[in-house]
Amino acid sequence: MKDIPRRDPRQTAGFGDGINLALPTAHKKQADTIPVGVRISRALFEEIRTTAGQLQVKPARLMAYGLRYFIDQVKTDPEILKFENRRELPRG
Amino acid sequence: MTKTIILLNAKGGCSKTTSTVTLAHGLAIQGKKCLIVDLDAQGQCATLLGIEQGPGVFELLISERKPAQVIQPTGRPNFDLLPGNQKTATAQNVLTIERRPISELLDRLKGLNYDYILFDTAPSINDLTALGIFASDYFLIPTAVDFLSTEGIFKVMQSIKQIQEQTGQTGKLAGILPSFADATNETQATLDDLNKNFPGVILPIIHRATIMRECAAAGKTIFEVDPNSRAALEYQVLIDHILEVTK
Repeated sequence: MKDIPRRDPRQTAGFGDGINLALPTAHKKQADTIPVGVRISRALFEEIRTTAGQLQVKPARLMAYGLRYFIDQVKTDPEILKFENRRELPRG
Repeated sequence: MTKTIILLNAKGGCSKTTSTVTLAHGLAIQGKKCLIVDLDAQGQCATLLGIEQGPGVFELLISERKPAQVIQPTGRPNFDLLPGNQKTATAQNVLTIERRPISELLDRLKGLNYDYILFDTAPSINDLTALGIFASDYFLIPTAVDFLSTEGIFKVMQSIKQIQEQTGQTGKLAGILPSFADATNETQATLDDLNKNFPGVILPIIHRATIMRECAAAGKTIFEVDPNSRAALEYQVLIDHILEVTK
């Protein structure tokens, strides 16, 4: 293979390195939220639905809030999760 | 709301027209109502689609005829064409001489019930191309993977930038589409140049394919000739990208 020296197309087009030709780009939009599905007991779901009704929010909103609150609590005090193994985790 | 996309490059022979027609037909197959506005006096969108060239763009810009009177159905669902021909270049001259407002084209196309309007352009940045840039929400720059086409991208981007600075136009770059790629060192070197100079906006490549030339000869699109071919699948990636970024 011949080793032919290669020119820089930016230079041959007449644009030096200092010239900014960047355009605003159309990026793929990434959703701020993602749907999450978990199985919970009917009893817990009824409790969530009743409480959400009382607070006049949707059950999904209450669950998202509850999860956020719970994660913050766990980070502050991991001891609130007192279980020996995964089987002891409450299933709702 | 109608989304407008212009395909442009200052260099000829870099698959502007093929990509315009293939993209529009692919979007139409997805159920999107599409119109191609052929701003190139060569008028080859009509040729690729197997229909007669016509003075559509000229009639729309110069005469008082309404868009519905000059738009031609392509014979494919959801897919119409405002054809160009030699008269298109005359329209450009008249617009320049009469100093008609640059928003003319946009105004005429407003209110048409299309999901996508795609502008195919001449291989130069003339007044009609400038009109198309002004009227577009998105810019798609097809390029052959060779040195001269890459050089053409810089000129196109400079033109877009100047129009945006002068008019407040706010269109966005949907990407640079490398086409005619083959398994040569030159293709790889050009792709390296592209990625170095335009990081983050180089789209997945379209390979050189004989079947695309056969499609042109037959007046059909790749989705009609062989929807399972590599070329069709590569264009499908482009269509998915366009659907995603124009959501």
